[in-house]
Amino acid sequence: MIDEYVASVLALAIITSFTAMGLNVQLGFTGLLNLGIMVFPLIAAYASAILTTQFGIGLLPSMAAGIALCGAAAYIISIPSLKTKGDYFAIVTLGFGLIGYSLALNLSGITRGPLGISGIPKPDILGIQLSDFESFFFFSALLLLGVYLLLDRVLNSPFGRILRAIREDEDGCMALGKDTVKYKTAAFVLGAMVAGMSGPLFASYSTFIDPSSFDFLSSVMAVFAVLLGGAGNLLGSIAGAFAIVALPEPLRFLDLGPDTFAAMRRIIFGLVIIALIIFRGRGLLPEKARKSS
Amino acid sequence: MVEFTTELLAQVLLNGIIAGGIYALVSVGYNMVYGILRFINFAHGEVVAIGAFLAFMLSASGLPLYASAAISIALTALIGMAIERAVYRPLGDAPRLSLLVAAISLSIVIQAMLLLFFGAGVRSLPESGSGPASLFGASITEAQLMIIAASALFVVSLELFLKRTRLGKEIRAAADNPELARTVGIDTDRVIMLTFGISSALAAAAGVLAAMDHSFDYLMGVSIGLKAFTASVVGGIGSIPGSFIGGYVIGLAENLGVLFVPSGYKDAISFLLLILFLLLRPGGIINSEVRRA
Repeated sequence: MIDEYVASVLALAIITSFTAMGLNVQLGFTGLLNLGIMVFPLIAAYASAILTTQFGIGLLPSMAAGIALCGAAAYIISIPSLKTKGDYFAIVTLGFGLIGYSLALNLSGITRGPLGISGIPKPDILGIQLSDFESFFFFSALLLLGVYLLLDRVLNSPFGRILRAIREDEDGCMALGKDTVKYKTAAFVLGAMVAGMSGPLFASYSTFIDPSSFDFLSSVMAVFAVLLGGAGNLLGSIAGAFAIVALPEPLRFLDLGPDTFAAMRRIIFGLVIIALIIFRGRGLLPEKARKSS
Repeated sequence: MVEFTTELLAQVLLNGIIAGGIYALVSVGYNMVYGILRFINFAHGEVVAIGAFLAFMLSASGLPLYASAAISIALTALIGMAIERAVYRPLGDAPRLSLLVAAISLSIVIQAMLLLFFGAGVRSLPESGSGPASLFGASITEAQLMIIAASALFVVSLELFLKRTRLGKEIRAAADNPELARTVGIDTDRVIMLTFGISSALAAAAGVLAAMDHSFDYLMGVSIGLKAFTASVVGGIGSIPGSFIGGYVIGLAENLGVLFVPSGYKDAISFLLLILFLLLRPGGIINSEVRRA
């Protein structure tokens, strides 16, 4: 038996692992720095929250629908985004992330705006209600294991090798006759759907969502998780997600107040990432160093 | 539906010009740093907030407003140079995406530090000058007149400095071709540091001016930074007149846009413009040459 508090932290770390793994497919394996990854969990979370609370559809089918919607949205977003590269791609995806956030905040007829949606049910597996955090943790951990094994296969297949080749040298890849945009689109959509899975899980975990859980800062935290665990390393993403979620928890016992806690967490991770980039140099982001001309 | 009157239109145009002046001042910094280091200095928006909070602190300690503003601008310039020395210089010729991620991390750290030191509350600078005057039916305060005049003055004198003085020419030479600049004996390290000093000073000026106009909190740099960056892209990355034009285009677009779409979408309007420009005219209004990342 796990303590409910510990289970709640572990479950949140598992949920965050989906975001980090999905982002890693884009950032770590394909070299696409997506600064708006949270738009995908946002879409899936709102879709499943609306389907469960307003249409009475079960959580699992709602989740599936949310993730499918996520894939469609990712495909649409990828068309303009992948026309750009490097830092411009990062900024375009940041823009889409902010537009998604702004829509969730302002389309109050659908999303209830800043009030958020509450009363989202817990998962219901074969008639067993997973109402406590412990069973939720095991449920999401099992799901994570499945997704991990699947992704591991996909990324070690010839498809995955092409993604890595694009990351290392896109022009060279094109010269070999590969349609790199097609592969990048596939990686973007796949990563978005995996990241999207965290949305409905989080909605069910906290039974409440509002736009603030999917803001730019959360997208940056996901980038931090991927970089901490090592870009291009799937298990690393899970470790990174646990670091982001669980490591600052002891600070809570210092009774700092929520603002101070949030601020300390950001300062610590921000400085760690800056130090990582400075001292590990080129190894950190798997982009081939090019002389700026 | 909004009813169109000349008063309303005059007020909206005026608001656009005031916001545009602030964006232009900040946008110059993105452009100068991008020109010389070819990376998006994501933490630049936070420098705006540093300027505002320093002025707030100084004026709260009893200094007159304008003295506080001047000291804050000078101190922020020093902070900008220190940041360059501590974070960006060690990254030398690391991949551009590494620099971008370092800058994002830095922006999160600065934000969190402001939250830690000043709390999440809303602040404002003491009232300056007389109450609002009337201009074509629109009301304008002394602080707002200051914004319009000061931003134009700063941007024009910067352009003159870059074009007419030896130091300005060194900066432009280093931006044009760093290797060649080094061969002819220009100390590019010093030039880069100076670039950060100037852009931070202008950002601080923008922060103080914005704070004189309306209340602010630790997140003030986020929105101003993103709009100003958009202004750089819209005007043409690397061009000072481009910053000026881009600043006013964004300021006017978001204020005029509110006549047609709900005001909650004010931010979304500029992100949409950002994405459209990056995709359709990455060189901006000024640059005809199209830059591919």
